[in-house]
Amino acid sequence: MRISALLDAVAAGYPAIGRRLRDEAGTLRRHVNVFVGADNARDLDDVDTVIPDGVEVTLLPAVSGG
Amino acid sequence: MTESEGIDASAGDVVVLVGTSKGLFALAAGPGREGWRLHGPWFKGEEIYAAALDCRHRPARLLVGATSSHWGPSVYRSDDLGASWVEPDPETLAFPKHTGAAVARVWQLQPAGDAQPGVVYAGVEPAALFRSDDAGESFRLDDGLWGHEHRPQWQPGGGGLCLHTVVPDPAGGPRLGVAVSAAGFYRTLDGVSWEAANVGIRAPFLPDAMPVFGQCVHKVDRHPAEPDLLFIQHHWGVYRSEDFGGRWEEVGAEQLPSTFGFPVVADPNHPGTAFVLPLTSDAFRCTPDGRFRAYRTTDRGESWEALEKGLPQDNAWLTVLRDGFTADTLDPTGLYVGTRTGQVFGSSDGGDSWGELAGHLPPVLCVKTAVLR
Repeated sequence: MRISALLDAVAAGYPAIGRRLRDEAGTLRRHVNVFVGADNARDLDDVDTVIPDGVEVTLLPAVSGG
Repeated sequence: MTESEGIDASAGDVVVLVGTSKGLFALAAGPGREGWRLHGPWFKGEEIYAAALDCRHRPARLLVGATSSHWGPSVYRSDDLGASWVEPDPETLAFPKHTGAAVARVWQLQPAGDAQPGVVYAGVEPAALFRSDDAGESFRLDDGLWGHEHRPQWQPGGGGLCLHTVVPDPAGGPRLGVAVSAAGFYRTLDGVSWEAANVGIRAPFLPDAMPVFGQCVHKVDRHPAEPDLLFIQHHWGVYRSEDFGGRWEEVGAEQLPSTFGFPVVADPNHPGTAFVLPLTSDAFRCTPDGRFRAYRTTDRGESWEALEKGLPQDNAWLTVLRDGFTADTLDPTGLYVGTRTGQVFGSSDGGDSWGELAGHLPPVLCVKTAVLR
């Protein structure tokens, strides 16, 4: 599963969370980080990153915001 | 007070909403406008560029355009003066997918007049107009303005490409004006088609100083009883139109200490009376000579007088943003100004004298007021 599909699933189940993660154009918000294991998705393939089986995905507000 | 408490105010009271870079505050007082009570903050940590207290309904409805740096923008509403809030679900203040755009910030929430009690306009960044017909519960994009032929050439101002001002027809007609920084003033006369309406406004920062569009209009205001009379504070210059933007004439160039500034406020009680707050240049953007002064005209911009009693006049290097100055509908008119240094000043006599209502808030982004019915 790619990160984009994961975010689609989150948005489908929790719309208010979904729009906090991505804007209506589908872009990951600038100060939201997605970690695949210990790796920031922005250092991989961004939302096209494939999530390996069994690896935890963490969604976090970036320290750059606020 | 705690964040969960609403504004302590009742019918006849004046409420001043203060949107800041770190949340929403509110001041409330009786019609005498003394003994101001400070409430808030709500939406801690979020930028509040837009707020409105819509008193066309009972109970009055609070609308707030908040932007979280992490989670993006949203318009919240409260029907109990801030004791509780509703977040829209789904969020309709959003661009349709076919546009490929996304709302970066809500710059303005503008209820229409009493003749259209359900209509609320929202101006956003990237510059677009949204309209609600259910008092802010849901919005739809104005496709006519979004599809305007000029749009591909619109350039942003220093704050971004934002639609920051909406000027509805107080009688509820189809005429509507909007201001975009830095595209200029646009109007619709039929409610469908839009046209640039900047004739007479100089844009010295462009090769053609009198372009059809591209002006950096900072703020527009009108008097409710004279809807054809508009005032503009432009990037350079204060302008007046007597025909709802058909033509503009510069005013005050020789009398104001600077023609640069952000807000302009039309006195809702006195046609032809308006207020500006000059700042020294677009590079410095602070009050001239270290003196915090508003300026008032009572003759449609022909002459201007400085208003300074009770305002700091010594080493006061202050900035007021485009929505940081507003007027209430009581007579004498109450005026309220918020600064980027977190101060709010108020006058209960049309600007003749002022006092500090709050002195230690986060940077003020917008000040809006209403009298509870």
